[in-house]
Amino acid sequence: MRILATLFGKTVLFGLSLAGRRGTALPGLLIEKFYPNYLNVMLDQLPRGVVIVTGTNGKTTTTKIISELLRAQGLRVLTNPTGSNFVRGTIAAIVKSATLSGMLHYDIAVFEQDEAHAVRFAERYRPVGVVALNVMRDQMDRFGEIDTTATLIGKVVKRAESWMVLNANDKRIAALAREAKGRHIVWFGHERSLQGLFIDDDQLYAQRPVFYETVKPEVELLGVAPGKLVLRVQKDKHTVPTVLDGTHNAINMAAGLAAIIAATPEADMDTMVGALTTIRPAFGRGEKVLLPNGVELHLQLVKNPAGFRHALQQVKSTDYTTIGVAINDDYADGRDVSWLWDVDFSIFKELKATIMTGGTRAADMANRLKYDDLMTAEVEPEFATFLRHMTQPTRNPAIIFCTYTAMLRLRKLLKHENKSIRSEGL
Amino acid sequence: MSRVLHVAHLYPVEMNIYGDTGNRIVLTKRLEWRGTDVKVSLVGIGDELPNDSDIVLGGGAQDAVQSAVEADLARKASKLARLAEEGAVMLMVCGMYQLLGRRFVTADGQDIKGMGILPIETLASHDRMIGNTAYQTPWGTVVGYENHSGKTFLDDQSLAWGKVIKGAGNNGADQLEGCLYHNIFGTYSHGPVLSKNPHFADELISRALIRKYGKSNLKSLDDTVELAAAKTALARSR
Repeated sequence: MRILATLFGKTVLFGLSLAGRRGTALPGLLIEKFYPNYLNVMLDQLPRGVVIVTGTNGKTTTTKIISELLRAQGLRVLTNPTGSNFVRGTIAAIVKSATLSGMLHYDIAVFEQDEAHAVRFAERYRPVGVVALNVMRDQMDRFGEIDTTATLIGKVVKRAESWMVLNANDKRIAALAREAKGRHIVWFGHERSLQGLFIDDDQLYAQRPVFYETVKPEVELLGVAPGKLVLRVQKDKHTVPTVLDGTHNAINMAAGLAAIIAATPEADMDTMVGALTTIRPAFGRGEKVLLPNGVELHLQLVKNPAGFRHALQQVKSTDYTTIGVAINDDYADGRDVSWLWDVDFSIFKELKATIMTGGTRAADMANRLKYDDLMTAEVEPEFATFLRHMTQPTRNPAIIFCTYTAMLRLRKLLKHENKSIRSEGL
Repeated sequence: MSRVLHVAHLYPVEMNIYGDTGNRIVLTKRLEWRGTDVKVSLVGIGDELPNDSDIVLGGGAQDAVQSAVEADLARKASKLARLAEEGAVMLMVCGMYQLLGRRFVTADGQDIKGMGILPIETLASHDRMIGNTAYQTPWGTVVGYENHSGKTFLDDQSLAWGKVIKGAGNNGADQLEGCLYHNIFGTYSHGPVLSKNPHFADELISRALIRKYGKSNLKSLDDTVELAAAKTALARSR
């Protein structure tokens, strides 16, 4: 069954690739239908089990950090590519990685799953551990309310076999400690003085930062600066040079180290901290693209107000000539663009950068900026034109904050025009 | 003498489902751009609703905090009712719109008493009414985004301020949206609703200024950016 299903899945994948398609859903869908037990049979081969990374923001980057830190220990890590975090996408990842005889030659799997899919996945297959990052307002039209989201994550951590990694500064995530029931909890978080960088939705609405800390975390972020961060890991303080910029990535690294403590307690933490230095951004998460005309273009995915607020800190690290914001309102972006009003853009006022807006809701974005007293030089819903204007030689360096499908469009255009850009994560 | 309006935002933390804070930003800016001073009060649980509120804003809620807010709202009820009768301008979106009504009947038939300020009743349903909206109103087309399952019915249909062009509106049945009673504007529209409808925002501002100063004398603003956003929104599918 295992062999047959794998061969079948690989055949479907091959067929799709012949047809020029990069499908992840179809093979998973078919296997689900004909071999419903496939997921369990395959994942049972992993000696160290499956880790689920879930939460509103930081899943992709944290999954990447954990995977690379495990690899740095010589472990073979199976992971799912971005955007395929459905059960059937995970199945497709398994099919691709299995040998023809249906063997998975890996030690451990790290899967990013959004909250709803994580529940479905965990019901099907018990993870060894769960990393719960945060709960923020995200595409409410899909998940409903923020407390519902927290309940979903609660259901996932309940399924963890032996450990959970929790955010000490997120009160909804921290409350999940009540589900521990003997399971090991490793906490991560940030120090009080950094609270201003981690304004959550409640604090934005109340217009005051409130520091919330359940317990003193084992991995604590003490400071962030462009190109480096300061962490305390258990008793030791480390200053770490990093390629991954931004406060959101700094906290993702803290979460990643906490997961390493939980998953591989035998790991040497000094080595692990050192390994953070070379980790590069995941697909569209603070990616830097060097274009043939010399323009350096940064791409930053934004999905929800809290993530957008964190991402905006990025403009402090580089002297951008041009800032683009590309907002789409397709299903994967969230159809409702009201969330743009929960982001404060006044940080742009301190800059001299030219602002352009793109995407199906380019006009909405320009309107939002107007109410923070910011002028949009160009409103361009057409992607090719938007990108062409954003990457004129005079616009070096430039950054585009983009929603999910906007990022896919921009990536596709960039790849089309310039074969040499790094396609990490694709 | 320069004019000043006092904007009170009810439960900015608890009752804020996606972007309704934007209504406060829009009103504040449109007043400031015209040289009118704005005083903003954030009124949370346990806080006093200011007696001199000219505009009161409220938004949608999380189920989990709704009960806490309901208890607090009961303490604010008489003052809110008095302000309403005195003609204070209010914009009540989604959850707060429902709470201002006479009652809310849950899916299991439980009858929850509302504040009884608006002559409306809301019935829970299993239909999720979600998507882009457009209404025809006395102030022109109003665009927004709705996301609710409660169905609101007006005692008197002539109180509705919008006719549905796109979307479900109050209940998905009678093609009406919102309720305008005294100077209270109830609506299911997020967006936030004032952000792409400058004429609608100015209607609220005008009413507040007339109530306080006898006349509005609103200078017109350049609304090109807002209207372009409204035009795109109108063209998007439901």
